[in-house]
Amino acid sequence: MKWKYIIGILGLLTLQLQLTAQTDLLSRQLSLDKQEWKAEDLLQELEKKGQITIAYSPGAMQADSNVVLSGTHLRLEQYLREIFDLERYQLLDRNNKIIVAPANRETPRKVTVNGYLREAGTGESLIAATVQVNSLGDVQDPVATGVITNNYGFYAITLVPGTYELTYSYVGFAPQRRVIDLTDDLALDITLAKDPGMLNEVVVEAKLEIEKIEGNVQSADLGKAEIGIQEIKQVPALMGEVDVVKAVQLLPGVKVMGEGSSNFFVRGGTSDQNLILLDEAPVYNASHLMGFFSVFNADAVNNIQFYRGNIPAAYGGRLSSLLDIHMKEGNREKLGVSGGIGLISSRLTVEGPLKKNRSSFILSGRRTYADLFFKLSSDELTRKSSLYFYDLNAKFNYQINEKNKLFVSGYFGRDLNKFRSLPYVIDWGNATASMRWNHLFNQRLFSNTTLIFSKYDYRIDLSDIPGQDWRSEIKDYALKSDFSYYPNSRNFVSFGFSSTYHQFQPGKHHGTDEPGVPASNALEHGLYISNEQQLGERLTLEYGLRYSLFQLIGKAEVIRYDEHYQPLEVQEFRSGEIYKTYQGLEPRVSGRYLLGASASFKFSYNRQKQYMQQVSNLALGFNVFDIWIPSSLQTRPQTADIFSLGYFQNTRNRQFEFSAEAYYKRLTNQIDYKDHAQLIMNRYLEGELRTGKGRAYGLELMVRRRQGRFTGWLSYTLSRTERRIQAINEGQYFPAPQDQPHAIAAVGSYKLNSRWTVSANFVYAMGRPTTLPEETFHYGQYIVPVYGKRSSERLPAYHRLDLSANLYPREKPDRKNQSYWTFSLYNAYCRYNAATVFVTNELADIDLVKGNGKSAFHKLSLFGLVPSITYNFKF
Amino acid sequence: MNKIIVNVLVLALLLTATSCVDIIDWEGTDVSSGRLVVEGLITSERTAHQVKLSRTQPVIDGGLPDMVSGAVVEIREGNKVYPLKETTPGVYRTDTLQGIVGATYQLKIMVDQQIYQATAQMIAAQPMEPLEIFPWGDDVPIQRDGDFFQFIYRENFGNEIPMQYSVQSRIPENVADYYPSDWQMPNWVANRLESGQLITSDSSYYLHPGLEPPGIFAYGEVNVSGITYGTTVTEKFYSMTDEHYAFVRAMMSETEWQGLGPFSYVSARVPTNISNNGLGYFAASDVYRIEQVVQ
Repeated sequence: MKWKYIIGILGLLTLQLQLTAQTDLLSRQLSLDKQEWKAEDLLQELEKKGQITIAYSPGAMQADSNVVLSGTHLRLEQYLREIFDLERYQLLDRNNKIIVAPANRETPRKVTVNGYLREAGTGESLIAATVQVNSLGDVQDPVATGVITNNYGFYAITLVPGTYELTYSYVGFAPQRRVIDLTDDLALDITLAKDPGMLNEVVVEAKLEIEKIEGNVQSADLGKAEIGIQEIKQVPALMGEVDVVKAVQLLPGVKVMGEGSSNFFVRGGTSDQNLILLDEAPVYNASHLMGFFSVFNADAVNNIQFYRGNIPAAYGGRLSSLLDIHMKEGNREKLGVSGGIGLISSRLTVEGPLKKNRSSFILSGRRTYADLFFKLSSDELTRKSSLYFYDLNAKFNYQINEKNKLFVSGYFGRDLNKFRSLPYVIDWGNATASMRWNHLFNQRLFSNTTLIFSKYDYRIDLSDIPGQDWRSEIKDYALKSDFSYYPNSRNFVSFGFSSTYHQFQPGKHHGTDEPGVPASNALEHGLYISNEQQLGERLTLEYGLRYSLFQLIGKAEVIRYDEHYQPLEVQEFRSGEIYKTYQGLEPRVSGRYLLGASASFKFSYNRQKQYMQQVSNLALGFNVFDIWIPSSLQTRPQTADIFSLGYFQNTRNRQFEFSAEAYYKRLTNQIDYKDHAQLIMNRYLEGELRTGKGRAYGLELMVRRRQGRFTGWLSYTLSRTERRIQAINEGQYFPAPQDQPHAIAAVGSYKLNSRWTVSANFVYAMGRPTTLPEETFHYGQYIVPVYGKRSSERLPAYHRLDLSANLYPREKPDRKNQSYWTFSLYNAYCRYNAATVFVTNELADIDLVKGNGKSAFHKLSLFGLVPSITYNFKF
Repeated sequence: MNKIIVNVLVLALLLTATSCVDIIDWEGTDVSSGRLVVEGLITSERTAHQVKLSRTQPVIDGGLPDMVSGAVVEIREGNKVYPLKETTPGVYRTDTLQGIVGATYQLKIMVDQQIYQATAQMIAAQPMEPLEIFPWGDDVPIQRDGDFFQFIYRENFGNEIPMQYSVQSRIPENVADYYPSDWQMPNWVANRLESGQLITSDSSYYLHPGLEPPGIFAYGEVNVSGITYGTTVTEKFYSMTDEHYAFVRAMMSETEWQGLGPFSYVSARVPTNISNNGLGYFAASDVYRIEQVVQ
């Protein structure tokens, strides 16, 4: 039934597409009141009547010549034929402009303008900034196009010689226009300054004018969201900890399972289907403190790009989303110190040039200190307990020369939970490192080569049970090269390869000979090429192909299972022996059709393959003891076919952006678990898995305001996510754990004046599926719950309001340090949302048999009202 | 001033620790389908074997279940039929008989014009080493070293194969005969003799293979003391098929091991071998028995 609504909406969108396509400018009928004109006057009249711009070089016509028209009710093209010599010139319809350009006579010489976009004052690369190009005057191949800077702030556009206006813009920064007379290759680095508070409406309006055909409408991206780090810092956060992942969770199509969790589920995918990259290194568990905080320190982050669909061909290995996070490079111009002191943690960042404008560094660290307060306790066990996390980000870059640049970056973080009153210690952490080399082969060919290391491990040490020190680990060593080629102004080609050596150690008993889950190794390769091509003035196509190859490689011990998932035999493979190969082609196609300057229609199809999966306990939604295992002889790779459609509309000079995106996903080899699956300390882990099909579909609506005093968005998501696994619910489709059909998110920030900014976010989501008892029976001393079908019930709806306010100091011209206070209220109206619902005895359960107690439904809530205060500084 | 700051910070930390558990209403919790529940066991011990029949209850119900009376219950083994008689409401017993290792037993229940059936195979129990019984340590208040003994219950986890287990200790009526003539009987022994409460410990539980993480903190080391000379310690090990243990493990997952920790299992159905939408389990177990008398 819901699909009928979706199809209806898409039908309306298609109708609008058809109507708009019929009214191109040159075919437009115009009526004039006389037949005799001076050429210049006629042009002005046509511009006025048609509300269009006609660009031409002075040499294209004689301004004072007389024109006698053949009629007064003609198409625009017919009028223009009377003015211009169309044997020497051609009429081009470019973004609501008519350009009178010299007719093509021979293949013109091409020259390239390229360079880097950086932030003024710090030299940080501006990633995914827009460079808009418009030809001026007498250019042989007129263009009105744009490019996006790559992950290093680099851009290049290849054009015929001529005069062009280049407009550089980036959200939150004042745009810059440059007019260049391009006669030869040109290197043009640009710095953009932050928009000073967006309080000057004139500046804002000017910016809006420039950007009116950019952004979500112009871009061919579908399902992509960019959130500026400044925007994230305005979002109210749990305990005042600014959190990248928590901001991503507020986007449409992104679901959360469990209060406060750092997990996220994108368009029906599971949490392991998200590729999370930090400076290109995969982060296998982005959680601190059982998931209440993510591992990303906002002070060290420069840019976040989030794809919840239509993942570029350069990336593979995950089905659902890409969260691509780039660390800051460090201030290239001056030494700076910044940080914050909060209730549960403090953070400090030092950055600066090592060699001015050539080399810089950044060091950023944070640590929680709840355990320091334990020392104040009178209880000895509490004094000896530990509960903390820390992380450290470091990055160094060095510009060798104009064509070569090196980056070295790393992350290290760990959590430790050690309560002396409990007989166990849990610690876990990630470590990543990447070394990158940017090389400019020539004006049109840019490359980046990266060496990557990533590791995630955890340990559960049950100190009261000898030999039960359980450890799990995944390690990656990777090499990848990506090339960006800019052959002309209408094509942008990307190609490259990647090779990763994975080492999986899903679980082993430390300090004993007891066998754990067999370790395994794998090689994962990717080869891709894609092209973004502008076809005409309205249509942009992006098409690409990725080839992926996954090889399981010895030395390995493999447990084979029978059809009932019982272990059959253990097979051993010698070192270097490839004992299983999976491969596949992953086509990517997307397109954008402009429906005028402020609306566009987009579509995409992606096929994705995933060769590893996370085994995760879904009982509470915490994500600490997640285990990564590869596809194997038993478990085949997951695949997804993803179809998306989108309609994008900007209104009022892009004060508001509207988007509607619909998607359908067809999934295979999805992972679930048998009943009462034991996921840790179980050598036969793979025997606990069950696989099957999945499907997910939905509609996401969003209105967003990115400029002005008030910024934010309102989104609504209608979606379903279902699984069909033979061993569960008699093989019928059932709601996946992350299925929440209705979700609303409202995020807003309002700048009251130069000192106060207030922010709020509200989230609502239909309760997630759960399995609860329908009745009970007595067996021996036990009262045993009887469950119906899996996921047949839903938790109560989740909703929450968070508030925050930033207080800045009074503006003083001579102020060198910038500091501000952040006050926040998480869960402002103190709703006790259900983290889980369960049934247990109100009293001792065994006594219930004797009639002493009574079972009851219980709701566990993790957070009530959580106030916090943080002092942030920068000097 | 520093003290104030510390107090403020501690208070703020406490404010954040706001998790709570509330009892809530849930729709449909006051009804039950009244499905038949079977709890039956036949063993290799020569005794009367028992089958209990009851009905399911609503989730929110503090009372005892409704027992099922008037059923016709029988156990078959090959062409032998063993009828069961209802001794108390819902409790049905065979005559004295002894199960045979390797035999397959079929339970048949006829009640309310419905027939319920189950099949159970009896596999051999694995021989086990007896419990270690050792003198009280210095940390136990005693009247005289060497007079009394103790043992520690077997661990729930880490057994080679799964088994149901029971252990009982019983002091003899003639306990004084085991001690020198000048031995002064302590009051607690005298009280037991006088009251006839000679069983000093009696426990039954399951021995699980490997380790079940949700149950890690459910059990601890339990010491049984008060064992005199002449005490008989009887252990029984009941064999289990894989299917039977799957039932037991699921039942434990939903009862004793169920919790909210990070190791909890996701709630799910407990399997059964009772046909016709029945619940519970009918099992057959060989019993390996060890009896030690403390000399």
